[in-house]
Amino acid sequence: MATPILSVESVEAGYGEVRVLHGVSLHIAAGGITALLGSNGAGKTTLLRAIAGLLPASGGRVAYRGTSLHGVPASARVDQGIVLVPEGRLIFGDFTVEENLLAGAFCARARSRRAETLEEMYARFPMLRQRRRQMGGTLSGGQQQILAIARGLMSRPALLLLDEPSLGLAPMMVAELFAVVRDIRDAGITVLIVEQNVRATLELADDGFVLETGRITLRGSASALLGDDAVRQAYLGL
Amino acid sequence: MTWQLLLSACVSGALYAVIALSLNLIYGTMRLLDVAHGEFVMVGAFAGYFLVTLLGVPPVLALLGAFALNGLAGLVLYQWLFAGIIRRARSTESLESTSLLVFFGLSVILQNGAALAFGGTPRAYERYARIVHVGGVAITGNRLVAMAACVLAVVAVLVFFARSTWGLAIRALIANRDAAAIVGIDTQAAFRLTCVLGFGLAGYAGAVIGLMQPVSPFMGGQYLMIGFVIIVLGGVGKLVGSVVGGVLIALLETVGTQLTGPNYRDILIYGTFIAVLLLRPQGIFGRHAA
Amino acid sequence: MSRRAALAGGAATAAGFAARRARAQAGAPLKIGYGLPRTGYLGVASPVAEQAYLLWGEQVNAAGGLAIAGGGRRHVQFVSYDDQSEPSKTAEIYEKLISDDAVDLLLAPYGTPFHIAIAPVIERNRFPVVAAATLSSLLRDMHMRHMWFPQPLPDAYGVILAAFLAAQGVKSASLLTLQLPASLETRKYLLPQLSSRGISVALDQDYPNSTADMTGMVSAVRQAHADAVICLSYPQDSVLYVGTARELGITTPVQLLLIGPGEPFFVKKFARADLEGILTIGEWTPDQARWPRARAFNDAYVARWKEPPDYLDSTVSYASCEILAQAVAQVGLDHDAITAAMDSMAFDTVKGPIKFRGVENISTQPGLLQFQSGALQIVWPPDIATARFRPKTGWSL
Repeated sequence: MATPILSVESVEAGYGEVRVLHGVSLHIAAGGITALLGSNGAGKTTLLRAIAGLLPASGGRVAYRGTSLHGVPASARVDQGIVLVPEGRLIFGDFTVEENLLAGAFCARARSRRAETLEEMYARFPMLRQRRRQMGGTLSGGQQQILAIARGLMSRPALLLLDEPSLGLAPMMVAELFAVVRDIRDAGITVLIVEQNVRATLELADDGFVLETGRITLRGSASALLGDDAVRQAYLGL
Repeated sequence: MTWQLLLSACVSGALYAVIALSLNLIYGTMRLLDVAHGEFVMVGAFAGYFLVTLLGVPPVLALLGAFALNGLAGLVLYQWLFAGIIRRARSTESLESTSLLVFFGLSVILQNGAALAFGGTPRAYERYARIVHVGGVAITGNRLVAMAACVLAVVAVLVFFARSTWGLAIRALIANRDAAAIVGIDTQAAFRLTCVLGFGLAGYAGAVIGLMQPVSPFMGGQYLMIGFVIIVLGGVGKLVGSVVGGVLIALLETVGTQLTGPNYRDILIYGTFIAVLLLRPQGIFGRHAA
Repeated sequence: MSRRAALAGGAATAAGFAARRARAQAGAPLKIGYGLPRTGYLGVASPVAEQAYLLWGEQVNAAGGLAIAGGGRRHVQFVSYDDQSEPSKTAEIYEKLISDDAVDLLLAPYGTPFHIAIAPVIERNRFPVVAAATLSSLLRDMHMRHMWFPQPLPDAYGVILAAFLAAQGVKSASLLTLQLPASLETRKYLLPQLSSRGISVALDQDYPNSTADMTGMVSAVRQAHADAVICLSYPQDSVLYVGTARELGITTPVQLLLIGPGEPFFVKKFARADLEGILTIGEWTPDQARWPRARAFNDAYVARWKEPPDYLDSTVSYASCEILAQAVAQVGLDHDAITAAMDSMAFDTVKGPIKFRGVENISTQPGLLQFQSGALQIVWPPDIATARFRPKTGWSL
C-alpha cells in the first residue's frame, strides 16, 4: 500500500484539563473523499483542529505523507498543503471577497501563483467574481461557505479538511456545495469531511470513519458504512 | 484666521494620526496594552535629537533613523519579551492585564533610564526655522516639514496595509487571529513585523515632535493619552479610524477651543471620547464590539 | 542595684554616648537632606535646581568641607529622594529625612506646592529651611517661623512689571495666563497694579496645562491690538507662544514670558533674531558686575554641567545653600540658633546681598530680563539694569 497522505496514530488532545480525543487512529489514502461521522461532542472538530495544528496533540502522532507534523505550526502545515475550512467559516467580514481570497494565498508556495489561482476561483465560482468588491460579511450563509472553501483552495492544498460545510445552508445550497466537494476531489485534492448530513455525505464519500466519545469505533468504505446496521440506527434514523 | 487654525489642526492631526496608528498596530494586532507607548515616542525623540545635534544628520533623515532604531528595539523586545507573554496568555483579557503590567514597568524603566542617561532637562534644536507662506497663511518651516513627514508616513502605512501581502496578513490577524492562522499566516513573523512597524512609527513620531518642541524624558505621557483616546474613537484595530480620529482630535483641540475657549480643550476631547464610548462603544469606524 | 549605682551607670552611659557622638561628628560627613521631583511632570524642571545643590556640595568639599562655628570643617554628604512630583510624598520624605536619616541640615524641595507640603513638618520640628524654587506670595504669607524666601515673589513682580509698562508708555496689555500657581498668582497681583497705573487689559485669557496649540489664543492677541503681551507661561508653553507669535506675526514691542526664557534649552530652540527683545522676569545675569560672584558661579556651573544655569531656579537654589552655609559658619548647627541668625544676619550670595525681614528678602530688587544679542540682560529697574530696554522689532522670516 502506498504511504497514506495522512496518518493519525493514537492521538490524544483536548482543551485545558478536558481530554476530548482518547487515542484516535486513522489513515487516509491520497485522492479520495473520507467522511468523518459522529454525534455532537464526539471530538470531530477537535480532531480536525489537531490535524491542522491549531490545537497541540498531547499524545500520539500525526504524520503527513509519512513525516511527523510534531512541532510544525499551523501556518507551516498550510504551506505543506493541509488546509482547514472551519465550522462557522471564519471568513474576514471586513475584507472584500477578493481580499479574503488573497489572504488564503498567503503561504509562500501559493503566493507566487496567486493571480492565476484567483482567476481559477473566479472561473469556478462566478458568484465570487461578481461580488469581489463586496465585503465578506455581507454575503449570504451559502455564499460565505463557498468563499471559505475557495479561500482554502487559494493555498493550493493537497488535503482539504472541511468542518460542517452544510451547516445552516438551504437545501438547494447544500446540493451545490456537495457538487463543489466532488469537483475538488476530481481535481486531485484529498478531502476529509465532517458532516451532520450523513446519508448525502456517505453517498459522496469513498471511505468513512465513525468517531464516538474520542475513539474510532467503526471504519470502512462509504458503501459498507451505508449498509451497516449500527450506522443506520445511529445516524440515519432507520 | 480660519485657515491658520485649520493648518495648525492639520499639523497636530497628522502627528496624532501617526501616534495613534502606531499604538493601534501594537494594541489592535497583538492586544498588548502598551502604556509605555509615550516612552517609545520619547526614545525616538531623543534618537532624532542626537542624530541631528551630535552626528549632524539632516532632520528628515533623522526621522528615518529614529524609525529604524525604535523598530529594531521593538523587534528585540518582541523576541525576548512579548512573544513569551503572548504564548503564555490564556485569553485576551489575561494578555491585556499581563502586558499592562509589563509595559508599565517598561515605561518606568525607559523614563528613569532616559533621565539618568540624558538628564531630566529639556533639549531642543532649531532647524527649518524660516516662515513659509501658504496662500496667506504663515507657518514655520519645521511645522510644515513635520506635517509633510507625518502625512507621508500615514499614506505609506495605509498603502502598505491596503496593497501588500504582509499588510493584508496583519489586517487578517487584527480581524480574526484564528482565521488568520487557518489561512496559513505566520503569526510570529507577522507579529515581528508589527512590532518593527508599530514601535518604529512611534519613534518616527517622536523625532517629528523633536523638530517642533523640546524633548525630555517626561514628554511621553500626553501622547499616550491622546493615542488611546484616538484609537477608542476610531475603533481598536481600525487603521483608517486612527487617522480620522487623529484629525478629529486635533480639530477639537485647535478649532474647537477657538470657538469655545482654551479651557474647554479637555472637556471637548474627553467629552467626545465619553460620548463615543456611550453611543458607539466599538468606535466610530468599528462594526461590532471587538 | 542601688539607686545610686543606677544613676552612676546612667551617667556613664550618657557620657560614653556623648563622646561617641562627638567623635562621630568630628570625622563623619555633615548630612544634608532634600527631596526633589526626579520623575513625574516636574521631573523635567527640577534638574536645574538639583545641579545647583550638587555643584555647591562639590565646591564645599573641594574647599575642605563646610565651616561650622567653633568646630572646624566637615565634608558635606547629600541624602536625597525622588518625590515623583507628588507633594504628599515630599512631606513624607522630609519627615523621614528628619527622623530616620537624622540629617543635620535641609535644602528646599522644588515648586510651590512642595514647599507648602513640607511647611507643617519643618514647623513642628523647628527645622530651618531656606526656600528656593517657589514663586508664591501666598506661601510667604502663611507666616511660617522656619522658612525664608530669597526669591522675589509675584506681588513684587506685579509692582515692577506695571511700573515698567507705564515707563514704556504702554496703555493696554493682553494677558495670557497658564493655570498653574506661579502664573495665577502673578496675574492676581498684576491686575490691580495695571489698573492703578491706568493700563487697560485688552485681553485676559487663562489656559490649561494640557494646551498643545496656541493658534487660537495668539490670534485673539493679534486682534486685541494691545501695546504689550504678557504671557504668564511655563517653559513648555513659552516655546509654543514664541513659535505661534512668529507665525502670526505678533509685532507688539513689549512681549513678556513668565518662565522659560531663562532656561538653557530655550536659547537653542530659537534663532537669535527671534529671541531678541523677549522679556522675562529675573534679576540675575552673570554680567551683573556689582555681584562679582555671579560670573564665577556661572562659569563653574557651565564647566560642571555643560549648560548654563537657569537664571531663576539654579541661582536661587545655589543662593539658598550659601545662606545656610553662612549661617552655620556663624552660629553652628543648632537649629534654633540658625533660625535666629536668619533674622539678624546679612548674606552675600551669587544673587547679591540678601537680608531677611521676617521671612521676606528685603535686599533683592525684583527685575526684568530681556534677550539682547543672544544674552539676557537686566533691563528693569534702572538702578540694577545692565542694559536699556529695546522694543521688540518682530521676528525673523
